[in-house]
Amino acid sequence: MADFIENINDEYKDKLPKKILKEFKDEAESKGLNKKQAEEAISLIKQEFDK
Amino acid sequence: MQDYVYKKIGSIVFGILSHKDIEKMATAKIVTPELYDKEGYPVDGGLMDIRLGVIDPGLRCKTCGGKLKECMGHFGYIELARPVICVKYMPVIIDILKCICKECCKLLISDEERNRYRELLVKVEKERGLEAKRKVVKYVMGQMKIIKKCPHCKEKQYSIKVEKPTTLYENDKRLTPINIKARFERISNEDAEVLGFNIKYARPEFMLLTLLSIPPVTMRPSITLESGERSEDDLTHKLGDIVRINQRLFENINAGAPEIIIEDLWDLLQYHVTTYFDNTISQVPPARHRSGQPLKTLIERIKSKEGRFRHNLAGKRVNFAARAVISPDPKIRFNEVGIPLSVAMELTVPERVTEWNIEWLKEFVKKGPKNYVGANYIIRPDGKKKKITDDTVEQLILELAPGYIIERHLIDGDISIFNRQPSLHRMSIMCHKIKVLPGRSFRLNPGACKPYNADFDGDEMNLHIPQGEEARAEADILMQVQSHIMTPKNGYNIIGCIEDAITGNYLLTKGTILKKEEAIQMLVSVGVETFDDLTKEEVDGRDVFSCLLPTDFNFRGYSRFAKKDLKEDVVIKNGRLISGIIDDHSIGEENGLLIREFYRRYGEDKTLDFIGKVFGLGIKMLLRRGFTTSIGDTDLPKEMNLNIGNMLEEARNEVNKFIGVYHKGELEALPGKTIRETLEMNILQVLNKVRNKIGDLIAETANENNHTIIMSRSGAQGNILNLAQMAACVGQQALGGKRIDRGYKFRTLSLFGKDDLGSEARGFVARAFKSGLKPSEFFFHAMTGRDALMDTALRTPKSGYLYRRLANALQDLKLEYDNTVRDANKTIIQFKYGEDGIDVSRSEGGIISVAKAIKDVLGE
Repeated sequence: MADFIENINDEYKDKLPKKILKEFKDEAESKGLNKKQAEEAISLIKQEFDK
Repeated sequence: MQDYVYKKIGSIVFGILSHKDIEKMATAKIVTPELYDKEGYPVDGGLMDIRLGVIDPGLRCKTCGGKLKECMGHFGYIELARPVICVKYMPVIIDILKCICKECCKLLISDEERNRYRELLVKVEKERGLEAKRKVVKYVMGQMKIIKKCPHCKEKQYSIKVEKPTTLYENDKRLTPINIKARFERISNEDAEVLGFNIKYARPEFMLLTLLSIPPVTMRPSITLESGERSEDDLTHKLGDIVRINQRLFENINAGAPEIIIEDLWDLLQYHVTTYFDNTISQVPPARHRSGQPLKTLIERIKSKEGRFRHNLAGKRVNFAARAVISPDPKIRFNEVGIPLSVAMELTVPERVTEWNIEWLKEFVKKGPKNYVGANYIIRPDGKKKKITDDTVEQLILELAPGYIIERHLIDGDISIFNRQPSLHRMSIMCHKIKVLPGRSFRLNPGACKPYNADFDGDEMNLHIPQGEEARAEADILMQVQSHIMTPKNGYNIIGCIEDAITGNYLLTKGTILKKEEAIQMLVSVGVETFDDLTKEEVDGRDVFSCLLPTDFNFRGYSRFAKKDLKEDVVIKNGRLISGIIDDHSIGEENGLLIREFYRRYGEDKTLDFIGKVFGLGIKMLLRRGFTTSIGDTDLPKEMNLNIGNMLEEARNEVNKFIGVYHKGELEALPGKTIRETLEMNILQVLNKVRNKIGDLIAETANENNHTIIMSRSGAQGNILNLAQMAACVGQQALGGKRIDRGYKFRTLSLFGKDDLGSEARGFVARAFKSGLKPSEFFFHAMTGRDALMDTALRTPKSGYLYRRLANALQDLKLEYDNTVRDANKTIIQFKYGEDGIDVSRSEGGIISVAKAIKDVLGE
């Protein structure tokens, strides 16, 4: 797994459900996201949760 | 400023007033039923005695010296000639009588047992609270009630009979309130505790009244009619009756009248006291006014919808509100409300005068209350309110200075709050901007009906004008229509295009070719001003639609007919609709995926604007093209009619075949079903299949230009089945999920043979609405129609009450800043909102799609 995806997963460990993070990891890897895209995607996902 | 002392209530104890308490609390003893003397002055010792408080502006209270509004009023009392039962304690009185010995008045258990129960009760109350204690008391009393012999004096116990509401018999001998009171007085404190009494605050004999407390005059004020006559409050009337009968009872007792007369009067006194407390007791004729109207006494003042709690405490009346019938206006914006001039001139907005707006505001004052746009009142800095009239206007204009407040008429753009009952969710009350229009009704954009569940068949709605800056700001920021496009139910749009707007866009994007001038005219009329994409002289409808889209908008979605194949046929790339037909799956209510995507990208304001433009474009398209639905839509070609006739005949034969097999006893039962049930299932299957087949046939062969078909295909209104029912066959009528099987003995209607199980005899309507139904078919159709009508009529209030209870139970729950859901006591109900923390209004049907987020980022 790419380091930045792991970093993102670590960072959002307490903020997002495990299921969502796993789904994100799988999708991001299969689509081959770069770091910037991955960060953008996770922030989009986070937006849909309560702040 | 006054210093307040804040205290927290630890607990509240309810007790019963003893006769000593009543006497101590009272300021006057009431002895005469007369209210006023010849001069109209309250009589001393009468029910309106001024020691009980005053309701006349000129008088002062004799007890506290306060004037009207200064004195809250004081209690008085009546000494009753004989004790009476307080009807509300009847169940307790009966229970206690059953638990104590009629001779020694001790509990019907041994002293050791009693002491054991006493200790248990103390323990239970301490450990598990009062509710648990009450249960134990009930259990203990249940144990005592069945004992037939007193363990102390060995006396036989008789059963107590109740003749409702307040008469008791023991062994066929009447128990008078005097007997009961005497027994109760002999109950020891220890025994009373086992019966659940907290003897500090109540003893059993307090439930029988020897003194009756008289509420203050201020609680039952009289009103003066136009004729100068006084009309007394219902409570005063009732108390007057009590005093009068009580006096007669006293006189008769003192005169040594026969017991039978005394008993009659006593019963009458009991009746008056009973109805004074509660005038709705069954088996007691309610006390009435001379007009025949029942009196509203103590209990009716408190309970039910019109009672003190629901009407006065939980519900409030407000000023600056209007109510009117609503009617549609598709030309105003979704977040606007059209109001009549008469409302605009009656409701006002307070505007504070500053040196910058003084000239502007002077114009309002000059116009006064009678001319629009004027003002009704000015409020001086000292708080004094002055009405603007023709006489005062000149002087008020001169007087006007910064610091004054002017209550001006409503103008376009003012903030209002619009509401339709029942307010079942937060979208039932939203903020709309005022638009003053001619007419006498409130005007609402039909696209904004869904959140209110409103239609225009006579619905009325309420309008409120917030009076403070804070209230206006709050309404503007939190309650505007655009902030509620997405429903928190599932994250789909509750506001979208409906009916004609959907049909219009469907037709526009389904291969319509327009002249460039026409297209531009349509676009300008909905407020679009850039049409750089329209380069050719003849433009496709899709290009016209694309003019509403921002150039950086990308979208993939399903149209109505591609959804089942999951083929994303609606494609928008860089603000251009490349393929697909726009229908309710893109722009409709609750499932408009295009609207949802737009909302995510561009936010609420732009989305509302977009929906408004799409809506307008759809309507413009229909206006240009012309659209109607007519009886001709249901015309079928001759050969198709024949075809349908054959299909129906086949089905009928198949049904008869099943019936034949059944009668021969050769039908095999399906697992878990009886043979008869199996037959019914098979028949229903056959008949439903034929109707669906007819529907499919119509759908397949339908003319694309048939307007009913267009409406159903676009998702605007109706479906193919509706058309099939009008054109070909209405189908099976079902009652409670089964074919019709009730009516006469062995048959549904008299024209059918005995035990006829055929399709026609059991409610299959083979004809169409257009061709007309046979009498028997009409009857079956009316049967199911009435069933459906009754079902809705009965279900609505039931579910309404269910909702009310649910809403009351949940009303305090709130999402706190620490992301927990808590109730009013700050007790945590959920650690995370909805257990998963998802904001449903931002999700898609409550689910977060990771794949979609990634697709968005990659621009796929």
